[in-house]
Amino acid sequence: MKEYIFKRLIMTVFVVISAAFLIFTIMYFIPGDPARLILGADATAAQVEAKREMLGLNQPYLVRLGSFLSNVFLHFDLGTSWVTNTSIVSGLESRFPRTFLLGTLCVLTSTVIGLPIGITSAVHHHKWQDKSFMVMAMTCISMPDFWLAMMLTLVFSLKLNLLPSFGIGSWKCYVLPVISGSVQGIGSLARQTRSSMLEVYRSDYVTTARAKGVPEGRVIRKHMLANALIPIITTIGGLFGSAICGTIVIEQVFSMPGIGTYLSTAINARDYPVLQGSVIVMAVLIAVIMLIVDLVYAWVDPRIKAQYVAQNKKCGRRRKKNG
Amino acid sequence: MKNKFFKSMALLLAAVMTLGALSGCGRKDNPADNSTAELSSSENQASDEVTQANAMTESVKNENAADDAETVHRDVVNVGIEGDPGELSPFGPTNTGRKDTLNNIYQGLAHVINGEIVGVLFDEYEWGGEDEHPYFEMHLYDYIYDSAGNHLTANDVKFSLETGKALGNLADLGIVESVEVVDDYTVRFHFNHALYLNDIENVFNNLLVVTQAAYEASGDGMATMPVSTSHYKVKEYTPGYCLTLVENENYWQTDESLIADRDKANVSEINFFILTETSQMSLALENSSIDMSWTVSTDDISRFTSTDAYWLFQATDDLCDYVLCNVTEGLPTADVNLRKAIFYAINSEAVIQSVYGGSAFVMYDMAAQKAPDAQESWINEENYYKYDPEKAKECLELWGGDPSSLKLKILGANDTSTANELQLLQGFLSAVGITSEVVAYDSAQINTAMEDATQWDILVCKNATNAYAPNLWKNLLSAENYAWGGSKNFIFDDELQNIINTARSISSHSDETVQAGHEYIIDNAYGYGLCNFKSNYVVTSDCTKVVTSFKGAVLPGACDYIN
Repeated sequence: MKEYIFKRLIMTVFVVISAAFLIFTIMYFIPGDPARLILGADATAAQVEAKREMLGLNQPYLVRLGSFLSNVFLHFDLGTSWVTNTSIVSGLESRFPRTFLLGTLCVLTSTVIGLPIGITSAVHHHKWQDKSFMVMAMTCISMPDFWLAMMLTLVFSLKLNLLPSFGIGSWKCYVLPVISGSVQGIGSLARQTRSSMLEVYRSDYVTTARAKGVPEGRVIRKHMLANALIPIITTIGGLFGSAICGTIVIEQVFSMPGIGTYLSTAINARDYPVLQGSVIVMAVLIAVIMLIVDLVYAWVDPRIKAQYVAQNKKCGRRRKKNG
Repeated sequence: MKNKFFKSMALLLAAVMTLGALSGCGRKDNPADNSTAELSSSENQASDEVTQANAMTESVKNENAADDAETVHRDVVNVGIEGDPGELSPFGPTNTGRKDTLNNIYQGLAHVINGEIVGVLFDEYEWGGEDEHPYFEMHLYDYIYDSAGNHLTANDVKFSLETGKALGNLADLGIVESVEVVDDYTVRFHFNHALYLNDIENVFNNLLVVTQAAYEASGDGMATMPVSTSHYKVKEYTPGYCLTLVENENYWQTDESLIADRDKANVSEINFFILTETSQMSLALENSSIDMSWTVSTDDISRFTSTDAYWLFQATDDLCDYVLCNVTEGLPTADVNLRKAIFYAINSEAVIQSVYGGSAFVMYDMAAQKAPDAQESWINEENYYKYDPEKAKECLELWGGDPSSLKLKILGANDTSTANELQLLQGFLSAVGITSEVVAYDSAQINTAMEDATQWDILVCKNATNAYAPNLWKNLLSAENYAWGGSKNFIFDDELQNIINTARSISSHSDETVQAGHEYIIDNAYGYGLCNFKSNYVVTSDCTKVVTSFKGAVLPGACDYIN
């Protein structure tokens, strides 16, 4: 198992380096003069040239790429923002906890609501409960999060004046963003849970458990849900990844200072170093989340763990054989 | 039965989604239409307010407020701003958030109001030296202390200017060649050329002065915790969310008569909330989360005109919209008659109403009409390119070419409003028989395309300055600004450069030289000022006087409030 984790970590490093290389190259070849953007229209050609020199923009591609990769991977330095002149690492550091909190709350809400809905639908499949929940799930999936966010703000902030429309000042500030951010997750998780549960619904071991007189609640919990968990975990992992890295819209609408706002502000201001730094951090996060999802598979399903162990043994034998 | 159920559900879902889309994407009362109508009808009134709210002045009074109402000291004022400063250092790069907040945190040497220098850190000043190498000498107050208790002297002014220049973010400081410390409280700025209009204003407006001791002690160039001589100091700053300032109880200037309006403190605590989403700004105003904002969308202003709770006024923004023709030899637009035909074909009023919701003024020169030296006679002049398709056709005939063989490339940014404007221009040209194609780029990429003379024939661009007419001409037409030694639209005309420099030079700036420049640019159709945008200021009606910085940002602490 340790060997598997190690291999995955090595793969993660390659993924992140590739992401860094790609984002740098794309940004390099995008036309536009950052020095002119920073100094504005009033600056003379000489001043713009001096700024270009100061930012190192006159150096050739390979020199800049080398310096960027070495700064990122050897010194863990993502550089400084062209617009605000602040360290990108510290900018991401201060924003990450808020994005993480928001993403975690969204995923928790989606799971706490979506999972029982999916289970109930599967247990009562083709009955009115199933149909109503599935209509609800489809509605949740179809609702764009920015639209829902605006509607919730209009109702709860403007009309009823119950909740703040922006900020991070109190727990109340998180209520509307979490609802907006979790509704699509509720829908997709409910549908995934239902379909996974239905797959195991008529399995032999479930029929046997029922025949043995095991109470229905226990059959659902221990026999059905436990065996249907793999695709559900995949969905939750995906939701977590997109919740952490895809909060741009929610953070923007509710003016929450997280990584999403940081990234969208950088895009609007053409602040390429921030853009590059944020993309690299997101690549790392996604890779780590996917690694955790894979490890959870093994923890949840002993068959997968056994498969990993068997694969490693096989590899070990092959290595021995090859001397 | 089953099929019927699914069909009903499908219909229900479709209905819900359609309703959702309709309620999300539009409104019963189209705000853009309303605002356009209201703006048009109140054009004269707005014009009056604009005159007062010109960024070159410093305050606007709410005429609806009772004259005898007693002003009070407010505990807290919440302000909505659209950009995050990112960092609060005095010499950092310019961005919207810094523009909106920094003049509350730091002080410059002086304010320049209506062209007059009003000392903040100095009481007396004098000009000296020769025409080609002038200097500006100022005598600082000897009792200036920052909020950390450091004494500010002439050496600190020298340090601030030299650091600002060295960091390379403040291009306007480049005209100061050196700083001479005459004694502890007397300092001289030596300039590297004969001064042009606005040169000294730009230095005063952009140079924020701090003590060397506080700057060096901060460790991060005051990026997170500024220490300054201002009436306000930073209490807390959460990047991307909120900047909180509190009144500095130990403000160094105790003589009320010497405190300029812009430096007054009528509020104990100011919260600048960063609201990057335009609709959130209006919502926050409506649910009283914030008390003022000067970046309210034109589409939303009708929401604040129907209630007494808000005071709305519009001010001329620094931003103007231009149409330039590429004058490179060999291109069809190198011909002055074709350029004139293009300009006559443009209906600027239609662009303002249909693209910018009425939130702009027509221009009568490449300079905005609010420029202090813009002449009133320009408004009624016959020779400026007022929309006239017949004249456009006449100019086309004079040009002598075949308009149907033309396919002019119109270059502009691809943001929604500019893209709409480009399409409208394409329509105007088509109406007089000129075929064209639109080439739109992202705002980061458009500079590269602009610099390539083969990429465009007509350019739609925006430029901002809050200065005199020749400064606006200089920004677009001066050879100094562009690496190729010509203007933005590739004009290589020594006479134009002489005319601009003569009008710009303090020693030769006069109504005559400005008029000469105005006529020369029009006669040669070197550029077309299409419109000058307006900013929408919305404040709660208990604010009776709004004081703005030179950049047009409200200084909340300096405003007047009533109960």
